[in-house]
Amino acid sequence: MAISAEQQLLEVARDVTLAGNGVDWVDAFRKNAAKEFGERGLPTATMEDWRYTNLRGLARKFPQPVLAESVGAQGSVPAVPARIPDLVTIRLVFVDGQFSAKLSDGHINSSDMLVENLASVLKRDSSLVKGLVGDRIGNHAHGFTAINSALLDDGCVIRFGKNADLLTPIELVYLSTGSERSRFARNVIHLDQGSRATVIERFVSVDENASGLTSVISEISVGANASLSHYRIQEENAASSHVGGSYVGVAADGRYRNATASLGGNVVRNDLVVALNGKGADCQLDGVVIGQGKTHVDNFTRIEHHEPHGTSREHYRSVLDDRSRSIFHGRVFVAVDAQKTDAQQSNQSLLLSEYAESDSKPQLEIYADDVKCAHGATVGQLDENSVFYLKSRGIGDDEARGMLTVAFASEALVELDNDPLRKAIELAVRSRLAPELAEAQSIFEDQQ
Amino acid sequence: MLSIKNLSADVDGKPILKGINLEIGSGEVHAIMGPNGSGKSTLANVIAGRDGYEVTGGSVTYAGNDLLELEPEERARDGIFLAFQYPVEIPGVSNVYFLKAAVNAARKHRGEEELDAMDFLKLIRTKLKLVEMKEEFMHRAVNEGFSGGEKKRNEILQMAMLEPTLAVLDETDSGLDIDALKVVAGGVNALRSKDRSMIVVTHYQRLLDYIVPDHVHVLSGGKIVKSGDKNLALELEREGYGWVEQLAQAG
Repeated sequence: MAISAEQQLLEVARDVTLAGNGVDWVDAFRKNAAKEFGERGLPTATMEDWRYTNLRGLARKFPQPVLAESVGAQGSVPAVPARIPDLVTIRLVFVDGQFSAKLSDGHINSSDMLVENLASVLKRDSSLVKGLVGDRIGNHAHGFTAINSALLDDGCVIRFGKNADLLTPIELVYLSTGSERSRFARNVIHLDQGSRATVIERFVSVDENASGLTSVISEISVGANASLSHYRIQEENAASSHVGGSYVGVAADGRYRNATASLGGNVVRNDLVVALNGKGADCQLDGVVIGQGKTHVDNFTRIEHHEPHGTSREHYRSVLDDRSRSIFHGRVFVAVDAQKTDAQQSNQSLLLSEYAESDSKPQLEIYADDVKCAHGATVGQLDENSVFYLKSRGIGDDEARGMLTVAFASEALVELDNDPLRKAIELAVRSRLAPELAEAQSIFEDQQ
Repeated sequence: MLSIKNLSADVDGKPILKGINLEIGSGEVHAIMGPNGSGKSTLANVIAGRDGYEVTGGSVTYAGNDLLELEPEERARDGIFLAFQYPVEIPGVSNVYFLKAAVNAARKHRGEEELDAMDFLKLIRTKLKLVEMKEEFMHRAVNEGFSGGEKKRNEILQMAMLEPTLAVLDETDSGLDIDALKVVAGGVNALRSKDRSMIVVTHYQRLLDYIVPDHVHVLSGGKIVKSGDKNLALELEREGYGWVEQLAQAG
């Protein structure tokens, strides 16, 4: 009898030796997570939060997990993606979820800043992440967070002390290689009071043969008055699925920005849970989805306002062609004490094909009585008045539609506070939606 | 240059133009006046080739070719320009990028080399002066958040960049205060030349104080009911459109 994906994963978790093995709290953490996974299993479409995203394919035959001990067999060093133009970063590269020192710029370990891969931290001094791993997921847990914890091994640790300020962005590159593999990573980001960081995550398939699943979970604490800009760029190929999550807590007057660009992949699910836990905490979540082929992107977002005077802004846009589909869950929870909350949410989709589909599910749950909460969702096609306007100036039909489509998508990125990164994402969007326009506009950006 | 013969057109299945005849020579400026609903804007849109305006009879010949056979973008590349009554806002597309795409589409069509960014910016700086626009407008999204006057100036800027042989100005004066009107008219006048014909569509005589036409036509009920020189516009201003409508009914 064939064993289930769950049993197969549990056996892997039991048999494998992972970083931090022998450290009591680490062992207990993984053991508990394995037990939890055994109880939960993989999410199914019968669960309300997963009803749009069917993972039956994964459950039937779960791709073989890549773990530390199998990395040695990789042989040749894969080609890493190009640097983001005009942006200096500190880059850490993970090949199938495992840190590659050879492909990375190194690490930082100073009195007030730690940027290092998790496996090394667990081996060197696991107390640095004790209490931080597993801290943020809480009751947002599901099967994927549980198996990610059960297989806790590598990822990135970013710990900043009080007022530490790193202007250079930290760039985490997750490279997928090989066919039918599953890759797990766990990031821990902890910014103490008044500190500031930028983290860019890039998910890339090394070539068209890479397939399977990538599952990266980030647990993030933004301290009082601290600020984190967190960007996620997903460019995996059409054979690669992605189930990731960012679980964020923001203290008083802290600020968290997230921009997620989903530009490829097979089935993509992004959980983004932000708890504004202090007075005056603020978050801005932007997203752009470019759906082509059969890409399925499910952005599941939840913002929790727990204290007064919090602000949240959420703006997601999708451009959907062929048979692609995008789902936007936008939950906003406002606790009874969170007076003067100001929450705005919008989700707009542009359908380029009659077979594409967009599902938008805003949910406001408000218990305070003195709040400003607004949400809006639209689904539509290109505005023919705009198309005619461009054509009446001599611009051809295809080019006019390309320009308008790219413009629609780019509008989701106007608030992105890092120019080189915004331009890089816009270029990636353009090269997918209107390759012939990719060069034309970039010439102009240099002139501005 | 432009020859319209017995042109009729429907909008949403409803006949709007009912036999227009109009001959426009090179370098001439023709004003088309008329009451609301007389078909002025329909005529402008039919010339530009907008969807939803169905030509049901007659012909439009431009520089010897059948204009109605061409797509809107082909008409534009052949030198036809429509200044919109309601210019469209296009978030996310910068003015400079839009204009460069438009200018280069026409250049490519004429077999000329495309302008590079430097040459293009040089050219646009000279044209911006013409309509008293600041360069910062170039880096803003097309018409987004522009005032009424800024939108109309942007139309004339586009016209100056594209150097059409036939410009159709559809109610360019609507929504303009007198200062903006003067700027826009000044831009248009600077573009008058013996090689450039213009059709100025307007409800009011006011614009024609600043853009003085060679010919004035009065449109009513989908037909040209009276033609004359600039004095006809003054006459309309004094008498109103009532007597024109009587003319139309009599005809």
